[in-house]
Amino acid sequence: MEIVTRNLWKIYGNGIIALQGISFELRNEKLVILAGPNGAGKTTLIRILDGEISPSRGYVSINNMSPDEARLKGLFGVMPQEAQLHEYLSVKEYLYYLALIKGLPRNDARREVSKLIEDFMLHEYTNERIEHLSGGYKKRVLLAQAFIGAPQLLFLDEPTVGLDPEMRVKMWNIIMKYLDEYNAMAILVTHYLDEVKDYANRVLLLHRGKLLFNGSPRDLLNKLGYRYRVKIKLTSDKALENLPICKYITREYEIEAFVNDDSEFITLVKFIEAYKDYIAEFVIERPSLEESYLKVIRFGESS
Amino acid sequence: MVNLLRIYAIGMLYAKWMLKNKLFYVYLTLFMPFTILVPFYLITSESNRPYIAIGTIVFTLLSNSLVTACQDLAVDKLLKRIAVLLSKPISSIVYFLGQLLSNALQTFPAIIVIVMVLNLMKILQVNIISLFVVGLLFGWYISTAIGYALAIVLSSRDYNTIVIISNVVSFILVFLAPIYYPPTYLPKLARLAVTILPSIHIANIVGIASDVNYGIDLVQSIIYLLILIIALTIIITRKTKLKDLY
Repeated sequence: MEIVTRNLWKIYGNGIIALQGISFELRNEKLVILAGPNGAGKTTLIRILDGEISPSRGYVSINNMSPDEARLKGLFGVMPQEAQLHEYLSVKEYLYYLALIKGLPRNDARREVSKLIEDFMLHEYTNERIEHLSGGYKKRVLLAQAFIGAPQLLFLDEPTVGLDPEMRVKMWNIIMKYLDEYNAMAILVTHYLDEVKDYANRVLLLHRGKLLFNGSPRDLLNKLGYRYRVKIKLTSDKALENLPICKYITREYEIEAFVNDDSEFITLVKFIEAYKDYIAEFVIERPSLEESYLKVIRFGESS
Repeated sequence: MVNLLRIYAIGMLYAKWMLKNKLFYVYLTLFMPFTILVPFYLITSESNRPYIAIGTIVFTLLSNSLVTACQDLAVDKLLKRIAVLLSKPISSIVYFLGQLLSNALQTFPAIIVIVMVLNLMKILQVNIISLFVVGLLFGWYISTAIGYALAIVLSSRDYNTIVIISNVVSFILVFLAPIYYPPTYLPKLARLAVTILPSIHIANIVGIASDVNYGIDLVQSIIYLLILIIALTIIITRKTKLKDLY
């Protein structure tokens, strides 16, 4: 799967500039996170990529096809943000009709619906009208429909918003299992960056319609400039004089040290061991992807 | 085959709303036409009552199909349901044919009931059933196509505007044309002007099949409607895209 965009712009009729010259290439990625604050242009980018709307300017191709051609070939599975369902239908009816629309023969469509109902744990409500389901179950139905017909490219716009933590983990597992099984690719809009950082192999960070970052989650973490954050509470400032690292901040008897490489980290651990009598407590933290995200966004805002 | 199933699925997706809301279905397809039929029937002379009958049939057919086709897309846009459909491999014509099926499922049962009631009341006698059906099919296709094309043209507008405009267009088609009364009641120039409206030709075909005279040649009506059908089909196939709808 290959997605190429060059100098992509989207200016809506009301003059709002949603995208400003977005260029990137994605080749054989598995899970791509599309992140950014509200109004950054994430949903607009997804809607251009899945052929829903046209860009005002620029080039976009999916496997060397236009998004329209790729859509008509059935390559996509899309879970739009905040879209409602045809709520007067039962779960089974809704998924069945969408399976037929996707192009599946009737028997295959029935099998597919049974599998989706099983995978997304909807069996209790198979024949229930969608309008009678809770928000979380509706979300699952909306997510389930994106997987109809084994699409090669999934666009998932905040798929786990509104789900409880247990269900979120289950959903991520379903998504990852699917991507492995079908060798498919997913572009995922999410604000839960740390939840998916272990699965993702690419992060695209948008801010005010511009692409601020395009790289791996590790590259994004590296933007922080440190890999460990160690908080040490001292009982005396005697130890402070011998602190073996240069990047730290102090507040009275508290130190917050930022460690970038393993040797420096080992030295710091040895320091803690050596001065343990002067240390009330210490905490070692791995910085989160969200912190890196915020740093990049703040940098983007200031520049 | 795949496309036939797609058309079936789109048709059912929309028709089920109406079919599951039985009270609204009865209101729209039976109560509303009869609330117009009854007073018109009472104030009209006996010789003109068959026009009221034809008018009611054409009103039910055109108004339901046009407004439903237009508003289905508008509602889907409003609720962002359209995004799910647009992600599936459907072309504009397949979507339109799905709506056509949906409209048939919603409108024709009502037409059958209306014709049966009118027949029982001896207001209307269908003599040439095949011609009567052709007239209904023309009306069904044209009004759905106008409604769909209208929805695409108005796609940048909000839901309320689309609802208002679709209703205005449907009322222009139904009430500006002399379908509830003989066209001879109109001045000659106006009579000529209204022949541009497809509704008068649909009423004419259905009327000729039921011995109701609208004073227009049958062949002329058929040719006019066929040209309109071809033009609308070309517009839907070539000019409309299920894209940039909101």
